[in-house]
Amino acid sequence: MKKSILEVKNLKKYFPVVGGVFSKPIAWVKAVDDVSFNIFEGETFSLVGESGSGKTTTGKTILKLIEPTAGQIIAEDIDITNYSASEMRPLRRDMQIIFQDPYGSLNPRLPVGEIIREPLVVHRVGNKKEQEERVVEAMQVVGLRPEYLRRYPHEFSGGQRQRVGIARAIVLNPKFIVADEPVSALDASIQSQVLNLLMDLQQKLSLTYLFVAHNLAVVRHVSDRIGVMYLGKLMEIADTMELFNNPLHPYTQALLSAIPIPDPEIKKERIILEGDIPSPINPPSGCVFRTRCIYAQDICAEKMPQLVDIGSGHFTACHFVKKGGKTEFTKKS
Amino acid sequence: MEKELLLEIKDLKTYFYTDDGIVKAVDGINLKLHKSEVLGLVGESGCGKSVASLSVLRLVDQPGKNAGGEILFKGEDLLKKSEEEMRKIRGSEIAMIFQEPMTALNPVYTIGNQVMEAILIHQDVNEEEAKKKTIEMLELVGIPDPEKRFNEYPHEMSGGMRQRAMIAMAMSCNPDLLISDEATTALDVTIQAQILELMKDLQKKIDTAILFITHDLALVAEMADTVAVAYMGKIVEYSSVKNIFKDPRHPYTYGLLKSIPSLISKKTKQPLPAIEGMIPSPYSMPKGCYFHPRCPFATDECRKNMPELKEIKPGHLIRCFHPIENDKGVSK
Repeated sequence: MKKSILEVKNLKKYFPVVGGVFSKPIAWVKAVDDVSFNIFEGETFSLVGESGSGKTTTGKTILKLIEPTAGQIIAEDIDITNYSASEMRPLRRDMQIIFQDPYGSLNPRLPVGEIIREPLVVHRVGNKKEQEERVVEAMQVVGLRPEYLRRYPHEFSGGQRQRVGIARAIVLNPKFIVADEPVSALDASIQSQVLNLLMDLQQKLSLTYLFVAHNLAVVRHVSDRIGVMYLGKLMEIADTMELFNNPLHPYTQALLSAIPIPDPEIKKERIILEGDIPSPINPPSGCVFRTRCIYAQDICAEKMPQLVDIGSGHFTACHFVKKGGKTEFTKKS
Repeated sequence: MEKELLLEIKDLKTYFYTDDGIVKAVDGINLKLHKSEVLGLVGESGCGKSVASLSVLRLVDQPGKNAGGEILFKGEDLLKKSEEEMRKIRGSEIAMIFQEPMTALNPVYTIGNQVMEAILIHQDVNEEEAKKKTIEMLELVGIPDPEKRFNEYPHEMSGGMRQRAMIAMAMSCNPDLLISDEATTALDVTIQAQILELMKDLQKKIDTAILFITHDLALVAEMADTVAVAYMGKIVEYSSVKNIFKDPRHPYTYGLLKSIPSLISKKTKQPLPAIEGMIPSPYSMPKGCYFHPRCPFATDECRKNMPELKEIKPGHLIRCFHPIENDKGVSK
């Protein structure tokens, strides 16, 4: 039986849009709107989606870097939803994050050795000598030469900086890491190096990842399970191969068909979605995807479909996907 | 059948003269682009692909300067044209679309006015006709409700719509050559699919040649007829798109193709074949072949001499002493 390391129940995060003289909220951005999923120990669970889908906000809310509006976050049987910053601190040793931008996420005034040591200082782990040993060890693990300890972030390339960010995340020996678009700022040849490092570390340190990304080829390669988000909602969750071989939600189908294939001899039938992603301030009624869905019917405007298990851990939120994965799509007239 | 040659870049060099030294951003590039052909120019950051395209339009800013070569467009050297002559060519015969439509569009003018400006400058029409043509163009690129959109400002549009407006502007004068520099990089994948579809469609309708610049090999596979792979200011491989993907011969091209996570392979969660190391600093380029510090096949010859770009079979050129002998292609 797989052990759930993290459970998210009906998570919501609304951001206020303020206006007027008194800066009162005049509207809400529903960045994450009623999202539920589990992450099992030792797996890589990925959240994919386009800009504005709420995948990054979900990742940050889970770590309580952003306070949730509603819902529950349960980390190893402890409900941390309402934990204060000081209550969170001991738990943060086990929960770390790797950021997208290797330029913005490292303090330019600190040598990388200090950047990597900082978590140890914050959590008062060991004395200075022990801390320095662990920094050297972490640098070796991520493939940075320890003699670069005293160099500053600007002396490193993008790929190396991302390694610094990874070293900082693993130096406390965490169990769970949120990797928020860890390779999207990197060149293709460097991207594969960093992906290999992340997969290697997962094996060596028995890490659990929440991987947030928009590149579907990358996600397919690293994930065990994938959740597809659209406009703050989860549309589909399935094992990686199941999702790619048998996508059931019309959005997932369109998203997967939009991936460019690095082979000029494969010409695939593409589902080209009409229009743009609606604003999360005023999302469509009912199913949020209905405005772009080729199968949308009247019911889709009235009722938001629930995310239900249609069998063996494959979840979809569509009125026309039934138990066992039977679909009853009819094209919009 | 050999098509008519539209653009021929011969040994083009664009150097940046900085306080820290000379950066050879484009270091002797040779390219040929025929009429109505799509040439994909791929490479990673620093390979010179964007500078090469700006060089064609003579838009390279200080401290960058042309340091030699020829850019023959319809047989005439663009480097010898006067600024006045260049201004007539830009936007009418050669148009360009950029990566970030928000910064490429002027925020204080409406979309309609910006598209119309290009038409008014380059075509002999009055304002009324230009406006009519603008609305036609906006409609052609799939902007819904073009009469209304004509009066909207760039910030009122989504990224995809802005890129459509950019394309409308670029295509409004039926250019012979369209330069697309990472035109879909900032867009979401479903919007990217829309824009690529639109570009393919217009390319057929207007019969424009496209210099398609990207870092994404998958997009090249979708769009291009021929492909040039650049590394540190030099072309390392050039061939038909089919050849590049089926039979890559340069170790860099081969490594890049291998390192892309597959969409078919069942072997996920396995180490990807990565290219080791990283690109050299442009201020201290390695001797010999620029790729040798990262190349698994490098020998002393590679460390000493820069190989020439040579034809190894008809239409397939590579810059390498030890091409990959590989008839099976890159298995995906």
